[in-house]
Amino acid sequence: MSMAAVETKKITLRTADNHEFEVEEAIAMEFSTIKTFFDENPDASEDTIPLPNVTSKCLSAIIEYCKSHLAFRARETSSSIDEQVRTYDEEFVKARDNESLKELILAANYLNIKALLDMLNQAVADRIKNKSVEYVRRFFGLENDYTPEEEAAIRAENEWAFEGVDPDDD
Amino acid sequence: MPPFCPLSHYASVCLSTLPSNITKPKSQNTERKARRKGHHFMMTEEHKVEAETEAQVAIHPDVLETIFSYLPLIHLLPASRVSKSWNAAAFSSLRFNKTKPWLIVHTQNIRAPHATTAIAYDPRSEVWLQIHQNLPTRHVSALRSSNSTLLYVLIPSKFSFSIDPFHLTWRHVKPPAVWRTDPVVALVGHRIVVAGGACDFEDDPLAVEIYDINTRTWEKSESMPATLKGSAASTWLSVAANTKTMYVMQKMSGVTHSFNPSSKIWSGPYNLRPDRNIYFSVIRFRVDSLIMLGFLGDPENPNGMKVWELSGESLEFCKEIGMMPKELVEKLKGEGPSFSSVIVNSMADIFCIYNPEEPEELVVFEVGHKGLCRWGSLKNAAVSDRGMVAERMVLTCSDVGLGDLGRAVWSGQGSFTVI
Repeated sequence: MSMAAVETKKITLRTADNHEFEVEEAIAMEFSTIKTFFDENPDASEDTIPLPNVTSKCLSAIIEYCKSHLAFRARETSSSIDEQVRTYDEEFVKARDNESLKELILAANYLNIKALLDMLNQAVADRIKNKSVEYVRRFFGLENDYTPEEEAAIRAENEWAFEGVDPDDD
Repeated sequence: MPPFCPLSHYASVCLSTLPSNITKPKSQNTERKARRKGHHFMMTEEHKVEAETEAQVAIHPDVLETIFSYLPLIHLLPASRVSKSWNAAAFSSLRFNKTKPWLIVHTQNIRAPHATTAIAYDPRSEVWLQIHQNLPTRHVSALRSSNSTLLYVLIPSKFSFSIDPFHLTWRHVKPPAVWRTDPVVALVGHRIVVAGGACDFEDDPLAVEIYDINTRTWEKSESMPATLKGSAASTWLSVAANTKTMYVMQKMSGVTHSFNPSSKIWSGPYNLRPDRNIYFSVIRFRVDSLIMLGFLGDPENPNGMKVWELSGESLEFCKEIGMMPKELVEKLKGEGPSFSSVIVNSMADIFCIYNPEEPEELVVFEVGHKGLCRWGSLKNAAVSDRGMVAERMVLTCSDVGLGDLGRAVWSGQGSFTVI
């Protein structure tokens, strides 16, 4: 069977650390920031697009994500596809430490990739869920900037809340 | 640091690299950061300050707020205590994912009234939570609920009530003078009105008494209108109350009366039904307008349920704001032969309807900004696969804010677990 060669337009992206990535137009269009740029500048298709806020490590992960999701969407929807998407997303997030998740969130936000951003935000939220205050501080490397007096004031305010209730009146 | 880019203000955030090994002591971390930053062996004062602030600006506040909007309220609580910036972000995130009233299902063992459990549904995050009362109150009789947050137990020797959002604290006071089995009870501002439902041997079946929460005293008041004789009990009357007025509507006939507990005057009757085909109706308040839910048709063949909003000084404006989708009417009706009664609880814009004979299906609707209803259904997590065996169920609705949750948890009164 002979197929006519389909020319897929490629777009070059340059990251903060000066790596160039050549991606298919379909993938670049997943980045709303870039899509908007092209919608407003239909002639500027030859240039390399600089992405000074995205590292090559982030961009390659994001490109992988978009490629996989485009492939999933091309197939018919079914519960097994949904299951595969869920598994892919879980794996995508699982091995990454907080730092790379934060970088990915910033990059996804800058490139305006809604689906990825929602998924990443949910992933970080899941890491905060069900953890104690101390654990969250250590996990994210945060300092408690409440002074002991402020902490005491908060505690007192909460305890006082129930002082107004009378004991059994009998 | 990445150069400033007009497309995103996130560029100004420094992506600090903190070691992922969390057991290292603090001093080592700051030293490592300083070394990586400027390859200086000796930290200057300036670098020291920068290193410390880097740790705290690790996640940009806007990004943090978005992440927080994904967190259920109960998990937002510890996050709000991590640091001042996280506290600000937590409260700020509630601006775009607002808190919603919680539905609380109380189940009580019929033979052992002190055995009660409470589970709550948070519509904002669609999670069910178990509420543990750390100092449980031993109830000796049936829990009953009334307009939204009031939960009470009435026995001849005592009147116990709870009005805090999670019902963790109870007040026990002298009972009303008239012995009652099934009165209409409503919280109107700082007064609890107890009307009708008197025992057969009592002289006046329409007696009304008011308990003032501030002065802690009972007061007799003008009895209910004589036309309500024979139906002056919560079985027959639906009650709606806001902070000033109480309305009672006969569920079958729709005849409505209002009561003002500060003037102690009954007014009415009013006929509020806009449609002759309504065979059963109940009322609730939504701020200052009255919401009426009515079933159309007849009990064996209900052909739908509609919602109207009545507003104006004398409730003269009636507007239809919603109709229950057919499949939800079916769910609510269940397997039973006829559909004669539903119970509605609400708080602010969230309404919950259930059929006492089919407690596992809860129909919830929310009155949106344009005043129109958005419908949904919920499986009652308090009902197990076997159904409710020897248990009774009572629903309340509470306004819950992050502060309310914080006070309940950190005062040691209660604890919450996501189911």
